[in-house]
This record gives sequence, structure tokens and C-alpha cells, in this order.
Amino acid sequence: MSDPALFLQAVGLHKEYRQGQKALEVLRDVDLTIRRGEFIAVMGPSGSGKSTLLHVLGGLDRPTSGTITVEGEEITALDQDALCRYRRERVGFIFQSFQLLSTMSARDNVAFPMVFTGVGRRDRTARADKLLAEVGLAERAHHKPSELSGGEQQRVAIARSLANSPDLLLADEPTGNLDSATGSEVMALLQRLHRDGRTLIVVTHDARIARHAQRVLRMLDGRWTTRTTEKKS
Amino acid sequence: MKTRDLLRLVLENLNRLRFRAAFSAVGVVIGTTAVVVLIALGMGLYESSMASVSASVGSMNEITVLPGATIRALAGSSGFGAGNEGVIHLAFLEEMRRRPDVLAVTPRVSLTSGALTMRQLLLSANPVGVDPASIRGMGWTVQKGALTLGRGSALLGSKTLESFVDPRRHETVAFPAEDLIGQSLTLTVTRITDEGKEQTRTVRLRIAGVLTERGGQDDYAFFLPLSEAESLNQWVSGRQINRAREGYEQASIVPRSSEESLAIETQLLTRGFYAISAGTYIKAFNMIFLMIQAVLGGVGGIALLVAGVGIANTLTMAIYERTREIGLMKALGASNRAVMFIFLGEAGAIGFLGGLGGVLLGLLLSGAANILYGLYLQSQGAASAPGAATSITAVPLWLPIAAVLFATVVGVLSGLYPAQRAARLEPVVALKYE
Repeated sequence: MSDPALFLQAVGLHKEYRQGQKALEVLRDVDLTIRRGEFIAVMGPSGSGKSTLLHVLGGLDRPTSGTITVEGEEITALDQDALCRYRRERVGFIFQSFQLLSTMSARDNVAFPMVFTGVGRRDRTARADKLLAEVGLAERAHHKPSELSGGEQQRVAIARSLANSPDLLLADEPTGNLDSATGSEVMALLQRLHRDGRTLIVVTHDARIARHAQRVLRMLDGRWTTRTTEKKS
Repeated sequence: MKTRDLLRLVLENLNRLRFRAAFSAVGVVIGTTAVVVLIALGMGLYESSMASVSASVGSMNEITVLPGATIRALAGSSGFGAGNEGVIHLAFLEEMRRRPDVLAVTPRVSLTSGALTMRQLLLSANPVGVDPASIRGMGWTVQKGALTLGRGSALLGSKTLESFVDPRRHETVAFPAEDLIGQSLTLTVTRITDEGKEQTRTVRLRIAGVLTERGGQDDYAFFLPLSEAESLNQWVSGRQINRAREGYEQASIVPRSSEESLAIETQLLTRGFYAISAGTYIKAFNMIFLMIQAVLGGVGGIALLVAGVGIANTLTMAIYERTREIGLMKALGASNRAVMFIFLGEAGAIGFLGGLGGVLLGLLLSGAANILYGLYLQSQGAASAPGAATSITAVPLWLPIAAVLFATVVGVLSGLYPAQRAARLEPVVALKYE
């Protein structure tokens, strides 16, 4: 690897789903190179394959062909357990629909990923409280998701994505369910995380969000259409 | 994932699904209650039957031998040899005495007629003549007096102490054993002559010892030397009995160890004798009760298995409801194994908690059955009868433990399919599930 700042490299990613006899091609020969600490926005219409790309990069799904290498480790070659570990330790997901567990408090939702990394209960709680404070929800730790606004729920979800200190954050339409003011708050939070050194890939329809990214990539029918010019961070 | 966290998560999930989990657990409660109550009933039946068996048989090792002809006459069966086979003649007894695996042998001669009296009191006991040389080998011990059976002496079975009757007052009189040692008993036998006249003969016997209680009919017997019993019987029948040819009506054989008892019995049976010991009888008895227990436990077990199907159904339905949650867990890095353990844990916990409830309910019902049975016995005035059981159910310590374990295992097994299904869910598909 020549570039020491190179974080992720995807080569020839291809993904197709079988629907009976028909094959549905969702990703077609997608290449991608991401440097450590980079903030990338992926834009494109619905069904263009951007969410599938995010899932494949995050190890939630496997490409039909092609390779993904993260800091020298080829994650497309990992077995099931190693892929789980990759998701657990290196990736934080942020979903459009927040995906919070409704019966758990904000604190328990944030602490939940640490259950799978074997962190003790006391440490989990302390870290969850710290993360909730970082997203400005220290006072709402005991509240259930149904008692929080949409923006607050997404901030809890962002805090949860940071639980195991991942170096890659993947956000799928993080402001899609929020009004513009709340969406801006969430974006400000994501920018702050980027400034703290995290690599961030955001899939979005929203051009205002894409403005904050260092690079904007556009996708159509499973292929890159244009590559935006790089901006200064 | 730590075991403690797994348990906490399982309990939290069950709490979340508490109504559905409770309904599934009710099935397990009913199944486990059925297992506990049915097995407790079986055990109660076994223990009360064993109590009556123990009260009616003596030493576990002692083999009672009867001539095959006696059983043939009683049962009309030809299974015990024919003709000269299975006769307890002197040569047979001598052969038994010489066997290295036999400790003692004695014929038993009952008096056909005989009344026992002691100072105006009647003694209700069965006079039996035994070989004095065999009594130590028979394993008898005395609670008072000496274990000897010389000429003119007698040994009393332990229960005879309470079997004296005052004929004038029509009441029983009990004696402490020490008061009887050295006392004289009069044994009167009667015969009718050819002319129809009644003749009596009396023998005075000194009580040498009172035997320790052994269980069985010997406790109600009055033992005198074989030769005296023989001579009294000959006087009553008016003829010389040739034991070498005719044999005895009964004999007792004591093997050196209980292991040899069955082998000796089998050999005697093949030679046309009827032979049985309490040990063998109880072994057969145990086999029958084992079968009864298996059937009763099986019925309860089936109820529990049906409950298992309920658990499987609950968890399979829960997977549909919790598909997104499973997807999220996987997105957060939960391994397939962790997801499987969570569902197996939930299934096992439903089984465990249901089992615990079932055991408690089973114990309550068993206790209630015993109380009702006790009241019934009291109303019948049968509670103090010898060998009468005071409870209808019995719960050995292993039963509640085994029942809870069984219910937990049924729960875990029921959870296998749903758990594997949950573990195999594709995270992306699960996250998008509506």
C-alpha cells in the first residue's frame, strides 16, 4: 500500500440479487478509494445502489464479486465470525429510521453494542453517559425512544454508533426522517465527529448535507456517474 | 458476550414479552405439575406397598422352600416338576447344608394342633419346630435371654409379647421381654382316637429367649426344637412320619450372601421346588414399580413435550416480530452464535421458570392429596393399622430437581429451531423487514 493515508479501497464491486430467473444488478463494477479521516457523501436517486454500497462497505452484506480492503485487511475474504468482529469493532452504523430498541432507555440503547464486545456493565453505563453528554442528551439518558423527538432519537443513534469507538461511520440518510432544522443539528454533529478524525460516509438525497462533505460521489443504476471535485476540508 | 449479560438480556426480553412468555410457561407449568404429581403418586404407592411388604416378609436373604407338589396342588400347575421331584427329604437338606454358598438350613414343622398357655393366660402364636443347630446361621438374635433351643426350651417371636389373652376378661395382656425369660409355657396338643375320644398331651417348655424383631410371620411364631415338634405331630397323627421319603412341608435356606440367593432359588425352581426370598420378591416388585413409574412419568412427559411445542410457536412468532431487532443486533456486531444463544436462553428460561412453577404447584397438590388421604384414613379409622401408609404421595429430593431440569431441557430443545432461524437471518434483509 503506497499511500499511508489510504483507509479503504474497493475494487470492481458487483452485487446482484436473484429474483427467480432474473438477476437484478444493484452494483456494477464500483471502485472506491477512501483516505483515513475523509468525509464522503454518496448521492443518487432511490434504487441507484447507494445503500447497498454502504451495506457492503460495512460488512452487512457481501458483494457478488470484487474486493474491499480496509487498512490492509480484505474484509470480503473474512469468514462470518470475523465479519461480525469487523462490524462490531470498526464500523458504526447510523440509520434513517434510527433503529432504536423501543423498550430500552437512551442510555441502554447506547450501551447495547458494548454488550457484544464484553464491556462490563458499569463501564458500559459510564461510556454511554459520556457519549450521550457529547451529543447533548445527558439529561435524557433515562428516556425511552418514544419520549424523545426525532432529532434526539437520531442523536442517541449517533451516540450508539460511537459506542465501540469505530474508525468508520456509515450513515444511511441520517436526516431523512427529520425536519430541516433538526437535520442541520444532526449534520453539525456528524461534522464534529469528522473533525475528531473519523472516516465518514453518508448516503443522502439532500444536497445541503452533501455540501459539508469533502467529496460527493453520485451513483446511478449501480455505477458512479460523476466524481465531484474534491473540496478542502 | 458475557454470560451475565446474556442472562440479563434474556430476562429483559422475556419481561418485554411477558404476557406471551407467561402463556407459554403455563403449558410448561401444567406439564411439570403432571410429571411431579404422577411420579409422586407412583412413589407414594411404591413406598406404602413396600411398607406392607416389609411388614409381611422377614429376612431379605432367607429362601423359603416348599415342595413342588404343594404348589401344584394349590395352583393346579405342572410347572414345578412332577412325581418325586421337588420333595424336601433329608438327603436334599443334607445336600443343601454341604453347599459352600449356604450358611444354614432348617426344615420347618408346624404343629397341626396346639394351644399355648402360661399361668391362666392363652398365647396366640404359631408353634414351629426348627433345627436347633441352624438358628445361629439363620441370623436370629435375641432381645432378652439366650439364643439356644435345647430340649424343653422355646424361643418367642418379638410380637408374641403382645399376644397373651386373658380368657376371663377377654383382653390382651402385654409383657416386657425380661418378665418372660425362664417362664414355663404349657403346650397342649389334642387328637381324636378311632373311637371318637379326645385325648390331650401337654409339654412344658421353658422360655429361653425372646427374638429381636425381624419383620414377617416369624415375629408371631413360637419356636421349639424340631424333634419335639416332630414327636408331637406323630402323636397327633398316630403314625410314624418317614421324612427321608415323604419330606418336609417347608424349609428355610440362608445363603452366605444376597447375591447367591437368586442363583440358589433358580436352581431349586428347576429342580421342581417352589423357592422364593424376600429379596427376589422385592426385586420383582421394584421392576413392576419401575414400569408403573415410567408410564406415569411418560404421561407427564408428554404433557411437557406439548408445552415445548407451545414454546417453539411463541419464539417462532417472536422472530417475525423481532426481525428488525435481530438485524440491528447483527449490524451492531452480534455474532450468529450470540443471537442463537439469546433465543435459546429465552426458550430455556421459559422452560426453567415454567418448571419451577410446575414443581411448586406439584408439591402443593401432592401435599394437599396427602392431607385429604390422611383425613380419609382417619374417617375410616384405618390410620393406625399395621403397615398402613399415612401418605398417598411421596416426593423424593431428586424429583423436583429432575423436573425443573427436564422442563429446562424441553424449553431449550423447543428453542433450537427458532434460535437457528434467528441466527441465520441476513442482517440487511432483517433491517428492512416491515
